[in-house]
Amino acid sequence: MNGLSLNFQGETRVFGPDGNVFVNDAAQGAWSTQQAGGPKDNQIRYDIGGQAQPPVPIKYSFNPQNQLQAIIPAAANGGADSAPFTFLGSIQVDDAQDIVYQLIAADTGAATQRNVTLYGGLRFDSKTHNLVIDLTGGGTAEVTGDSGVASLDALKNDITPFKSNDLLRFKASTTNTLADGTTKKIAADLKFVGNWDLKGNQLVFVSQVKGDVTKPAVTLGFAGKFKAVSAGLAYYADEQGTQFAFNINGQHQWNSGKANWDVFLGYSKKQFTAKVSGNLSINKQLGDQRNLTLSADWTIEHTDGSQTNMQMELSAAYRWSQNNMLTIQAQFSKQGQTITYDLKVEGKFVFKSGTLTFQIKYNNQDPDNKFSFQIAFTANPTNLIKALSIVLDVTENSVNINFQFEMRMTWIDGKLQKGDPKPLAA
Amino acid sequence: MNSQMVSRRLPFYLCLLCCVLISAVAVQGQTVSATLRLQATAVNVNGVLVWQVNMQFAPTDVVINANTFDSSLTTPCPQISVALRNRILKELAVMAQEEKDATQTPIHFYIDSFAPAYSLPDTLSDRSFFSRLDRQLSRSVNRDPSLSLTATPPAGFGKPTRVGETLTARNQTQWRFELNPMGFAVVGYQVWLQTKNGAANSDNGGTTVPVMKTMGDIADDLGIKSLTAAERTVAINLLYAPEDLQKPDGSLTDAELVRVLEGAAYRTFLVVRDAKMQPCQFRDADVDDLIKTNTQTLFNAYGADLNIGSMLTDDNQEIFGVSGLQLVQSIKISVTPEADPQGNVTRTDRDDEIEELLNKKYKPRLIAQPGEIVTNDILDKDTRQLYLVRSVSEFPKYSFADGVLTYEVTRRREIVNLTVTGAGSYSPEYALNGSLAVTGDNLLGHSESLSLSLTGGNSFQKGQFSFSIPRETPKERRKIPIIFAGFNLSGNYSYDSDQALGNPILTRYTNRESRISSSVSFEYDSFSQRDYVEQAEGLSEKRKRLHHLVTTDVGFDLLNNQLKSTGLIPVAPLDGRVVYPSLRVNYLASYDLRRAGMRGGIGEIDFLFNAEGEKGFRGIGGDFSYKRYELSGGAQMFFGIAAPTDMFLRYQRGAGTSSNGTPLFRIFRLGGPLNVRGLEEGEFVGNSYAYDRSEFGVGLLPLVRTIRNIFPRGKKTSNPNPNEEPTPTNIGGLDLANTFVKIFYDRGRVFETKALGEILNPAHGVKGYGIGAELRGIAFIANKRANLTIGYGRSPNSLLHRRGAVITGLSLDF
Repeated sequence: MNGLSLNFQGETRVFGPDGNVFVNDAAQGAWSTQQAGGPKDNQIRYDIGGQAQPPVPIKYSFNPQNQLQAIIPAAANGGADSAPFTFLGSIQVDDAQDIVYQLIAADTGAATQRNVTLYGGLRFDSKTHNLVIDLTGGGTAEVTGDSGVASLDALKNDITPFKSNDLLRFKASTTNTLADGTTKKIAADLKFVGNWDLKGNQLVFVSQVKGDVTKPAVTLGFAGKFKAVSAGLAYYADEQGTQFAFNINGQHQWNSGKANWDVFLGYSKKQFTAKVSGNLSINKQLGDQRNLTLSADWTIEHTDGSQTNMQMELSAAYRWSQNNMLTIQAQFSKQGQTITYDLKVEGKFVFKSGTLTFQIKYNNQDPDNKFSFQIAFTANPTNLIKALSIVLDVTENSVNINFQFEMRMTWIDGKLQKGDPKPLAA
Repeated sequence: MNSQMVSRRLPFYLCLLCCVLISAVAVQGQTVSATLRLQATAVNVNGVLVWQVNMQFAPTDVVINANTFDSSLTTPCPQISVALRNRILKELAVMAQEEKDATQTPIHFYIDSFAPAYSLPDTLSDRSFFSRLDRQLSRSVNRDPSLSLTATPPAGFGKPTRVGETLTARNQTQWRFELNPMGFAVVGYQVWLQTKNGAANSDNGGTTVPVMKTMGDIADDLGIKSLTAAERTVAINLLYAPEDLQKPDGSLTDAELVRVLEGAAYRTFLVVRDAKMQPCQFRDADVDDLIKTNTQTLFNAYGADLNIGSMLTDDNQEIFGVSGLQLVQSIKISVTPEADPQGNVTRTDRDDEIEELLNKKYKPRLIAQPGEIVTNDILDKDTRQLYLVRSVSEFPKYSFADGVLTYEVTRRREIVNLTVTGAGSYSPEYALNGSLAVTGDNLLGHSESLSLSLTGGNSFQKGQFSFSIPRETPKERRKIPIIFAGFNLSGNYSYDSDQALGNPILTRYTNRESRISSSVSFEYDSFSQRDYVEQAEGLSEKRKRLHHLVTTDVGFDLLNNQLKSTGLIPVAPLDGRVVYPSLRVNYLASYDLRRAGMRGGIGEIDFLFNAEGEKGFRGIGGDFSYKRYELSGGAQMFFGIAAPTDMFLRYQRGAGTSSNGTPLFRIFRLGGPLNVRGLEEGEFVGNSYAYDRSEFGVGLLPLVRTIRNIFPRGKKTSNPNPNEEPTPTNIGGLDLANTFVKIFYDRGRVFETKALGEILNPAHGVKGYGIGAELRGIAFIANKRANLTIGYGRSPNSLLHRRGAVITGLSLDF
């Protein structure tokens, strides 16, 4: 009989995929891994002739086709591990802690009403980014994603028409070969609902366990590198930050009142306050584009006293608003569309040595030349300076060949202003 | 009240309950089967043979089995299978575009692994065709059930056997796939609006008042006739709290509040409609994002209180929700003084006065009024209206908190200047001079300037008084953009001991002149401020390229002259008063041909036309009756090889004529920077004159670059060093990009004839030629570019400067 074989005191008992327990090829009982109100351990519970038998511990794993394999360890199998048995089926996650493997019929591939439940805690492997379950009672089983690190995706989960939170999706599939030799690939959409968060220098996904308020939130950690980008937060699978994995929706805006950055992470808009801790730079190639990149190191201080250090690298472009104000817009592409939003950074025009620059304030120091970019032009910077002088009422330094003395009296709002005489610019 | 509220809420909850019950049946639905005609070719990637997908798909390549749709979708939407096919084709097109843009490495898509027959290497796994299609569609699936896209290969599918092998040749192009459409199929859509109080009460179990309507009901209430029958069926749910009925000066009735909410709902519906939201489609994350962004903009005033989202119900209705709206309780205009140059903002009593004045005068004129929900268009109009107030210096901001809408305006500081200036200068004509000037700005509070200056030297003395009102700078462009371009009133006295008039070397004149002059100017400019910036930047391809600028000066002058001969051969003194009104019209047309990234070619073509006339008469003590006319026209073209403004060619021709009786000091003077360079101004005089000027200039920057290319620093390499220092554009304060070295050739002739054909012809007269540097755009006077020319010119016809002379000239563009 096809199934998982148990050597019970010299007697072979086979746990068939149909839920029956066979002894000498005759169905004599039933088995299951999940019982209402029963213990949540990785043991098969079964009966023979209606008589409950001692539970059998199982070691689970997934083969390269993501099919569930089960082995009865030596201690429960007469001193030697059982032969591995591969169940045909598909993978589901019932909450953020367990995996449910739904069995299918070997002849038709149709889903049966039988499941195998793997109890434990879920996490993502820091190197492979495969889904790993740390099995209750010891051991691990690893589900391989469909397309490497791209199997992970940060999506939106609707709560109400007015609110959303985050959805972490892991895309895998199980390939089964049916009795007639055909293959059946069954998608496993493993979804975790919750919100993105930062714990120390680690990106985590805090998933709420569905339907059980007594269970704590499950935190899924990600060991790769992350940095703030215009579209939100980019997560890289490797330590070097070169292997892009997925992007988490978000926005970053300069808060001029508090002189720091407001960081909104995920669709749940978890808010952080980031302070610039160094390495500020503005990268702009002088030329035909208005694009620039604002970079800095950020430190986020959490209420528990811990800190998150991360890099910020925001692609942006300056733009003239309807009121002829220069605004810096975060800019990124999504599905071929260019999305923008106002970074709300402050700044001022500076015309010095024949060059017009815009100095940006995006840390808590006064802007200076280090934090400025030159306005783009294709033909003639002086023309632009003159044009801006008209538009923005920028007063230029004039060049006088004359020598002068001057006495100046200034009334502001009707009051004569007092002040020390100042030398005139030559 | 409470029982009434509860009874009002009952239908709302019954509706929600219905949704839940329906959902229990509908949520699972069933998977839909389809086939895809997939063409792929075997390629070798890093030593592995893989199937590369041909990303060109026709509508006939995707066939959806309409019979596999759940009836909950096909009943309201019989064409839902067509919608699904179109949606899949759209996502495939996005993938094809990504492949075309080549932003990824590798750029192509490959058939996914189908173990054990075919395996795609891990390095290519993120370019798996079906996984990517699934990922793109799943962006729009924000609830259960998952899309679960599963592809089944045709029988016999496996590894390719050789490079270039195709699925077509193997007869394996027909792929079956399944997906569950229930998580993103939209059979209809609704709009839900909640007030902030309504949302808070709903969360806390407080009293709320739900109102269910259709867009048809709302259109009838608001008198809108333009909705289609389908649009009228869109369901609208409104929710408010009893607290929303309270106003500082009384209370609203439920009907009044509902009417206000209906207005906001209608505006939200328009946003949804503008995003091309349709029933019987599949949810699109991009459309949702667009609606969310535009709704956020619409109700931007509510800031952090605003919650906007969308949700697909289990019965496949997409709900677009707006929460956090508030009715305006009161409106305030707050005034902040402009910062001083040190950045300090010091509030004074004057700010309080202005604030009170603004609130009193402008608050009743605002469109936003208490008891309304404010939208961005209302706020835009109000802030624009406040910006136009003279004392407001910056575009006003607004904020909304606790029902109070505040417009925050920055007040321009009222600055009055009085300046006394002493100066000394040197010029070739007048040698050493001293001057004293008193200047006042804004003394009368109208931005006017007042100045009195005295200048004196050994051969020249001058006193001048002037009063001017500057060119207006409208805060907003008018429909007909004609503006007042300034008023000047001036009086001056001058004595010049060596005035040249004609070329008699033995006769010199002293000229004592007093003058009262007034002029008023108007201007038409086809360019807006934005057009100027865009033209100067040269980045936007859609910028306005043709620029017209017309200026008109109307003047009235009263001139007293006393010319005495001091030469060896005395002539009778010339005294008299000239009174003349004048009119001057300038027209400039400029066409900008520059394109972003363009290296050479023609960059700009300009045409200029000037016409000037004056009529002397004998009234007000005038001694001379005469007419005097002058015309000039010309063109210039900027072009280049490396950049479109490296060089220019310029040609200008002018002529003038005056009637008999024109006083000597108003006849035409040939020579000087305005016509024939190399001659001193006035070396030749006549009742008529004509001139033409030709120039060719080369920019200093391309010259310097060319020299650096010919004589590079260090060894020449075939690979240019990216870190090599670029050619500086500014040397010692000289802007190389705007400095041109030019050669010129001028011709001129004076006549005593009035024959038009002869007047227009400057040939056979005097000529001048030379070389100079033109510093373009050293200043902007009004919005015209001022250019300074310094050079050396020589005229073989000059008796005063036989070896040539230094020439200087300031000209407005061009």
